[in-house]
Amino acid sequence: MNALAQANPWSAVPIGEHLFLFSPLIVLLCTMLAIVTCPIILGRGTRPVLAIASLGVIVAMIFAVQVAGEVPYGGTSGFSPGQDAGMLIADSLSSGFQIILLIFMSGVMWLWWIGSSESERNAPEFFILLLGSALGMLLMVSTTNVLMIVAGFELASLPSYALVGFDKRDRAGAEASLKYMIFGAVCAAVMLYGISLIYGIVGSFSFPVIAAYIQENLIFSGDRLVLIIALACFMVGIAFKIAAVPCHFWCPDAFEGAKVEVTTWLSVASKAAGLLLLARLVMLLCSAVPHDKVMFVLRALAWGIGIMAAVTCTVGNWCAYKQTSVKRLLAYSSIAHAGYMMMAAAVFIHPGVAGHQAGLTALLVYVIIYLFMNLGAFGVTAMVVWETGNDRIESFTGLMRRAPWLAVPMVICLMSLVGLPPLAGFLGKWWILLALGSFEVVHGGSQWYSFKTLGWSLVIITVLNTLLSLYYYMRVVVRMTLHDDGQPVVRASIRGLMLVNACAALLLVMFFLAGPLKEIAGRCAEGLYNPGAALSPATQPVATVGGEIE
Amino acid sequence: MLSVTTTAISIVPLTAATAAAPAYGGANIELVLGITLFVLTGFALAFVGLSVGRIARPRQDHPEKGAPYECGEPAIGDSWVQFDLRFYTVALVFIVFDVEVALLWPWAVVFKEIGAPAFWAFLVFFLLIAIPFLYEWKSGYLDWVRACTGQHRESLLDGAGEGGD
Repeated sequence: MNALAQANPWSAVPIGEHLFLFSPLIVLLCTMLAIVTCPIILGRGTRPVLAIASLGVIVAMIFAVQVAGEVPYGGTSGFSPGQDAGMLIADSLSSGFQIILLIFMSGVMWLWWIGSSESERNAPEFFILLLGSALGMLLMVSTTNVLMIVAGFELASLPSYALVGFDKRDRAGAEASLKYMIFGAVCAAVMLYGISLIYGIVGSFSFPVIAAYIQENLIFSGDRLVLIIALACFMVGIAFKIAAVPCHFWCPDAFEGAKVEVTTWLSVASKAAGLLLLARLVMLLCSAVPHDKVMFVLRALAWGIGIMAAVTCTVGNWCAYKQTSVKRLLAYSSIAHAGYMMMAAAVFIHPGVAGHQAGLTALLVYVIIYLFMNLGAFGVTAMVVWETGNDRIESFTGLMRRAPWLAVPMVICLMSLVGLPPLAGFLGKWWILLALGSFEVVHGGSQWYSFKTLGWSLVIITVLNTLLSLYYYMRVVVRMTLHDDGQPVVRASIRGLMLVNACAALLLVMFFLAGPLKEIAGRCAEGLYNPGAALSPATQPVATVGGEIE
Repeated sequence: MLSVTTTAISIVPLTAATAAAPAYGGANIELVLGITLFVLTGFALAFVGLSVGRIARPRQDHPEKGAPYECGEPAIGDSWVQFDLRFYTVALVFIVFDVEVALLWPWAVVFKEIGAPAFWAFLVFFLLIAIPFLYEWKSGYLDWVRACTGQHRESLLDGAGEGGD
């Protein structure tokens, strides 16, 4: 540790500099408190709550942009209770995720404003839960401490369960909520079991310390098997958040039962938080392991994540085939996309900065693009559901005549989800494929289990899956454009049309702004693969902050 | 046990002397005095609390209150009964205060070492607990008879004064 920490062992007590680094989180918390006081002082109206929540999100976003400019480029800052790594850390990745998530949240709030603000009588509760789950997701991504990861995980999960069953009178929602909660509780329990094993072996909650322990002891130690089981259990929790394949069963039911706004929120936010957490942990593991000595550990890790990703996207695409509910179809599509994004995580394990850079940048670009694709697709679905009362695929028949300003953005979003070239979805997939292919360049090898084999198998699986997915996305498009059974015109509010058309336009524009997009994503990713910062987040951080105090 | 005594004593104005003492145990009269005061205060708190409650609260007799084991459901009989959903209010209040007390404990142990920041930190935490509690109170989630509506609710309210069924 450095001078500051030695002089004051209670560096856990935050000072102004620290508070500034975490100001977006604090602003969100204060917004939640303000909304809680709203029913006490102003009554249960929707307008004041919506105003406070919007103000809170805007202020948090301003702070997040400020912090993003302040965090050391490619480094980490944080404060910790005198241990090895920050309890909370702020780096370019966490700041970038804050901005992405807040943009997405304003989209979801906009959707809620159109669809539910007039009929909803429990607005304060809805926004407290929404902001609470956002806070949990942000905490998950801005820590390397396992205890804090669990706290963030639960803070993100518990409000989500309640959000899914938010309408008490809706039976489908209640059932979905119960399924989601039971599944989540079991996954969290398995994850906690894994953490207890890790703590029993390593004696620390700090993930850099755990990674260093694995580096020293994994090969010859007797508790290697226990450690592997513990890491696998830990992975169950993350897989639940991402909805990756053995832990994906909650996803279709929860998405179908929940209100469309909530479905939109869960489909992107929960997955993105889980994926970025996975990215951070995998990066810490890789940077701690000396590559020549324990190559097989890295290879096993890469194969594990790679196989999980391949199975996830294949299962997601196969199950989406026969769906008749568009929400459910998009739920399975989101499972498939989680698989594509996890493939990028398999690339991180790639020895050398080139692999880290390619994989992380591809993942972040994909998350940003995926946000707008899903917001657009779910936005159109929401508008159709509000008008026709259900989300069967038949309700979309002839949408091109009934509401051309809904049908066109829907086609654009769906084609972008497939990954067709003039749209941004193509960029995400293209860079992931490039990263997978680059396995060969940096680390060749002729054995069947080499990184090269893994990379090219994943490339083939991704391409085949894209072909599969084309069919079921096309089914919706064909229904909208080529069929018509004379259903009445869909009247959508101008605010809704603005949202979905803006998303579709962005998808078109982003394709032509590929360079800047990649640069932004690369900048966010830098915080993770910068070698010094990843090995010992605590040394740089407190020194950076401490230097300014003295 | 050591931590118990130090924490307790820091409340009474003997703190400085006790902290300066080289070791606990032996013939340390101030320590004994501190423990005695602690025990006496404990008893006094319980006594004062119960007697003030007895004087202040309205008296409503009910046969259930005389039962040897009172848990809100018939104590004898089949256990496959529909459990009263309203017990969630009890759970809510319990969570609020249990969490607070559970976190107050480690805070109290290290309070002397950290000093003022710990005080402010806990004040913030207390605020985070208190405001939602006010919200629960104001929204009526703590009322026992809230779950019933209309006529049923009125009959229940009337029946409460007569001693129930």
